[in-house]
Amino acid sequence: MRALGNLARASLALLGIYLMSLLVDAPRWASGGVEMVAPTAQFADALMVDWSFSLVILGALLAMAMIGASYLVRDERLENLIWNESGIEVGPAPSKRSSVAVKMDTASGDELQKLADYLRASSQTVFDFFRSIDLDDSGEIDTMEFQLALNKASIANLPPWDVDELVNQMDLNNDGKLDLPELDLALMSLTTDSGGEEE
Amino acid sequence: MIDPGYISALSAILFFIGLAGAFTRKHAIIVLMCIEIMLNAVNLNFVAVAMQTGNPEGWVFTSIAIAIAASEVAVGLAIFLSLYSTRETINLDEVDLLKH
Repeated sequence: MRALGNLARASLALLGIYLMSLLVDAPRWASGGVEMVAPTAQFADALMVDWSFSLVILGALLAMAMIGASYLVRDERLENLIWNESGIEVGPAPSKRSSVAVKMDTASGDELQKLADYLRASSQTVFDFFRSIDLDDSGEIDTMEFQLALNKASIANLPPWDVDELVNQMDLNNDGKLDLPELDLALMSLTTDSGGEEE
Repeated sequence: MIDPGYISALSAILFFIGLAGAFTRKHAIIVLMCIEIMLNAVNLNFVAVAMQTGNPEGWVFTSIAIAIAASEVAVGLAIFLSLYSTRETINLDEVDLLKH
């Protein structure tokens, strides 16, 4: 069976070579091509005069395609935009050469403890906090919302991959998002631990 | 000047390389690249015929095809990105249903 397969492949290759030789030696190519006078001008003339209307229609269609493509990746663009904008520092002496700098913190590992302390200090319930950071009212906190919450509470300005790790620590059902019970359980365990340590 | 017959032969070779890749590979980006190879092979053939006949419309078709190919890549990559965020894979064997 393998020999038959190899024979079929070899036959196909030979057929391809034969067809290629027919293509190259076709009488159509005998003249060897026509030397065009002012080819660039002819090309521009054909493009701008004969095909101008078609090009306008094509341009409109391509613009629609691009808008559709950018709409498809709107979530990723929004995430990148928020990540970029959240840590912008403008230098004291702006010049044409100065560029925006994105300053991100590194994860210290005690962000959740700081969050629990923050809630205690600000006298917020977990429910109130959850509602305030659930920006799209979906009932779940995704990585982006949790990142913004940590930044807003002045706990840390972490990059998304570090926030992902924090969310995964609390995410009991592994859906990549936090719901209210998960956040409540995580913060309650931290409060209990620190309470036990204090005692 | 290069003989248009050779250019046409090269375009045929490129087209079949792209065709074989598009039929046999499973990674979506590689399949997209193979489709682009086929498009460019056709462009090459347009140029060869334009050289042979002295008609600049072959170049116009080529320009249009290049613009469409660029747009197609942008839309294709956006679809793959969106697909990856929902399915976490762009292997064409695993992504076989057009539903969320």
